[in-house]
Amino acid sequence: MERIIGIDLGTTNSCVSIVEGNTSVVIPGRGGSNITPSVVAITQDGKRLVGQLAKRQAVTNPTNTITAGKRLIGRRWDEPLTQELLEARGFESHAGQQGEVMVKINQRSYAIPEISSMILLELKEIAEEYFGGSISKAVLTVPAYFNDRQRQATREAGKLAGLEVIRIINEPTAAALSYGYGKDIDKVVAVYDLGGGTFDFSVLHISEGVFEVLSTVGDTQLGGEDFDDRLIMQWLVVEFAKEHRVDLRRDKMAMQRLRDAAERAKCELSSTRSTEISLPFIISRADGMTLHLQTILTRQKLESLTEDLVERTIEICKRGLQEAKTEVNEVILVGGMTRMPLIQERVRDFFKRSPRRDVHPDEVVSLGAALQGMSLQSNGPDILLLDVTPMSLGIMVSGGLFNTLIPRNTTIPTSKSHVFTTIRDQQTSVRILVLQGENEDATKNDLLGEFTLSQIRSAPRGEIEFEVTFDIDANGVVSVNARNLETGQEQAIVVTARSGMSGEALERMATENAEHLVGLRERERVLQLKQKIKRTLNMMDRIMPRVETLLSNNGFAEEALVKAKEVIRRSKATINHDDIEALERDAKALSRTLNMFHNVIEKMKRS
Amino acid sequence: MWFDQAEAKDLTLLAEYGVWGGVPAAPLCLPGLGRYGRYQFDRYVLLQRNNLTVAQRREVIFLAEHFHKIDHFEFFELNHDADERSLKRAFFRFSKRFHPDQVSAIDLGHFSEHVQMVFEYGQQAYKLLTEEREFRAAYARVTAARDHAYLTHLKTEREVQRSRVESARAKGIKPPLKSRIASAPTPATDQRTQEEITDRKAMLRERLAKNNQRRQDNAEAKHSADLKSQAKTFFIAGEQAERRGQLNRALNHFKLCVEYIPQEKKYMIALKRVEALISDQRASGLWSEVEVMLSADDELQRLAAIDLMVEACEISPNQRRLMTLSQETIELDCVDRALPLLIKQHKKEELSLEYMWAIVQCYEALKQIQEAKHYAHLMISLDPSEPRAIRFNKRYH
Ligand SMILES: Nc1ncnc2c1ncn2[C@@H]1O[C@H](COP(=O)(O)OP(=O)(O)OP(=O)(O)O)[C@@H](O)[C@H]1O
Ligand SMILES: [Mg+2]
Repeated sequence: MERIIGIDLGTTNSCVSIVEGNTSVVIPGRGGSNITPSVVAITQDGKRLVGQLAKRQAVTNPTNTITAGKRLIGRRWDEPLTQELLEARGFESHAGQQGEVMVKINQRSYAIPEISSMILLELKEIAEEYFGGSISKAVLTVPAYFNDRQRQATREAGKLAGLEVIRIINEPTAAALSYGYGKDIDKVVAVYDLGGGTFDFSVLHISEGVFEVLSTVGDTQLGGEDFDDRLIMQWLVVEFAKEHRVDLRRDKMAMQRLRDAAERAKCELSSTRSTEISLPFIISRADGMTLHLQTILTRQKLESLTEDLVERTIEICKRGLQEAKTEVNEVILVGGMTRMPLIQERVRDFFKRSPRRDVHPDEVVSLGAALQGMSLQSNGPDILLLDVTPMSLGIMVSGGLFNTLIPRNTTIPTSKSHVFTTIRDQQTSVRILVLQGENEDATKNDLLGEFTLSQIRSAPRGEIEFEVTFDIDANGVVSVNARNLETGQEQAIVVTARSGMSGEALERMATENAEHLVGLRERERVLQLKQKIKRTLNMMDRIMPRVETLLSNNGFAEEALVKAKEVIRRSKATINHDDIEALERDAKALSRTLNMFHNVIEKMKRS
Repeated sequence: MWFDQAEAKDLTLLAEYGVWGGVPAAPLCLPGLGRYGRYQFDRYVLLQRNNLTVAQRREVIFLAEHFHKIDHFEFFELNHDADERSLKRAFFRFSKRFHPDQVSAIDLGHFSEHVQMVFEYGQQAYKLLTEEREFRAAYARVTAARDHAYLTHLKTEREVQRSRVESARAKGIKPPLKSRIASAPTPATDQRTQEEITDRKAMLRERLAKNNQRRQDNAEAKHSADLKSQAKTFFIAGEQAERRGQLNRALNHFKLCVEYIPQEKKYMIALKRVEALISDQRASGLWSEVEVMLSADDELQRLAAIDLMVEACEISPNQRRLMTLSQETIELDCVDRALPLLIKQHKKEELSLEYMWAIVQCYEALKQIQEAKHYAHLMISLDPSEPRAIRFNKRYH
């Protein structure tokens, strides 16, 4: 059976799982941790760092480190929200050819799916290492409240990483899948998922292996990062300014350290009542004096700073319950942020029941994704997801109004046809704006695409009719088809605006990723060789004095000794460079010399 | 006409629901006429995920094409008065057969569109029946009226038929077979047989209970045997992975083994072994990073390296690592990071002078001379000629 991995591509952390036997298990990443930070960095010399490695160097290299790329995925550069996010992070950016966001790191531009693909590539590598074989198929998860553009962009990221994305499923649904799989239950389960960047709330009915989503609501811009921001912007920076009259915001490195410290403090406060934030040498003042930041943060303070954010999630839950129209039997908490005591408390109060404790908040999502991947194969586990579309799909009609065609919470896959007609005489094309959202004012909703029915036979208005079919597939991805009702033929549709990148750009990125893989292997080899040479040199240093005394009264050995010293000198120089050929050569030469020395010593001992 | 004025109003309401409002004028099948009438599906049409037979394909196509003629209730094989619960169950059952995911493993080509169409129809029908109360009420009334009309129609037809048969019989033709079968004689029921019967019933019940028990026991035994054999397979796979150097995989396999059969020592040992191997690998991995960072000779990098060193020493401490850590922390003025680790290791290896000396240095850096002296004394009591300790003592005498 083909191996299909399940990937939870998170804002702050990502996780990869696989089905072994009949349960799914997490594949541990590098450094032994089950989760991999969603951080990507490009070093001065153009090398890619991903995960823990990238996160560690973030403090010393903030301008070339991208965190929380997921918050930008599938967004257009000119949206106000995008600008706000970019500003807050201090990323250098510009708009791409299709209006997508491009970030600049080390003088090179990257599209956001490209950044995500680097993380996916890393996870794929982890899985391949785990199996000792290649892997090509994956199920990816996205926040339930992601729109079509964000889903498409996520799929592109998968493609760039060389993965066939066989399905995109919603994170809370995946969590419920992992929770309900193998249990003989008939229950309504609510999933509260607060991660690093997004909040989702879904209500599902689980029975006989069928997982029916009753409602899904959420906010793609509400997560742990916002809690950190509150700490930084409304407290740390303010207090520091009051005390020292210095604005920390103007120093990128200082901000990165603040971000780090704020998150750490927030996490610590989930288990303690107060914690110390200490950042020595945070900034130097104009007069050259260096300043330190040192302060105590209490849980109470954190809660008062972020209370309203928690309240916002509860408001969203209210909406979700209303739409589900049923009693909830069970609540599960997903996402790292749900470790915060205030959140657990508010959730308990609101649902009037304790959340389940047997769900791992960081891992369930990817575990569920792996299960779903297997269930799509023949003889896979017998489970069925009936997921819904989180947002209404519709078109813009005259007057800029939004006409809903497929209402939200409709079970997918689903489709809907709509008949269009020409409104002017001799009209040769019809423009259709497809949008997603709940606002009556079309312009306030997300524009998915602009489609043009072209090459229309010229005729009086109203004479030619088209049937346009809007289709939402099981991935939640929208497609549009049109048929000319007069001729019964498929009508040409031109996509005039779409989130994604051009085919050319995609291809370029894919080849770059492949090259990176080769580079990666090479780099590993270089490291190995360097270590080997270092080890041999150490040994050499140790036995050299003995060899010298042994050979000192042997004229014939003089020459060999000189040669050996030459090899040692050369190797010491070589390990400072990444020339793989030179390294190979010197590693060999060194071990030959070392062998020779050993032989000499042996012989001398015997004689 | 099978509907009257009031029903006409219902029909208009239904029409407002569009494609789905229309009620087929004649039922495809009727509750009274064999439950599913003319279209009876193989319950496992799509559940056998290997392939679809021609007959199965034909059924899907039939459903897709005739959907508008099939009554929503019939579609889910339900009566008109079905409650929400049974409606939902029926929808789940339906989804398990017709959801496109259930056939996604088979390459159906264009045919998969038909499957999707059937699913979409069913899903819309379900939604209408559950969410639109008015629709459902009107729909139930109208279809019931229709069925009633149809049944009456059938009845009159049968009447006609019967009168025809009767008149034929009058003419001396044999009646149909059924009516000739005599009713079975009722069994005699005296007091004794009654008792016997209750006795036998009790016996039967007992035997049934026993059988049930046995079946349950068997199931449990089978379950635990299953677990055992699964654990065994995982164990073998885990060992293989370990040999191949895929430690993470081995770890997962052994974890599952222990989860299935917690009492088996062999599994526990293997798990511990792999865990130790992994932590050592991790620590050396971290350490190679540390070496790179230290060689950069940059204050910030060195500070950052401390975290890594502490992590590595926590995972898998050894003398070289701890010594480097203590030297670095002394230089960078943060010995409090190293000290607890050193003391912990010192407690494990009480006779090692190196750890003691490191502790002395750390306390010295912290200006806690009393503590430092304590450890220096320890060193001297172990080795009276220990030069570092002697020098230290001289300095602080
Ligand atoms: N113990 C803790 N207490 C409070 N917050 C925590 C704790 N542990 C982790 N977090 C926070 O949880 C967030 C990360 O959660 P998680 O890994 O579930 O998010 P994600 O899956 O990456 O994001 P998303 O699902 O939104 O894309 C971070 O903001 C982190 O600070
Ligand atoms: Mg998440």
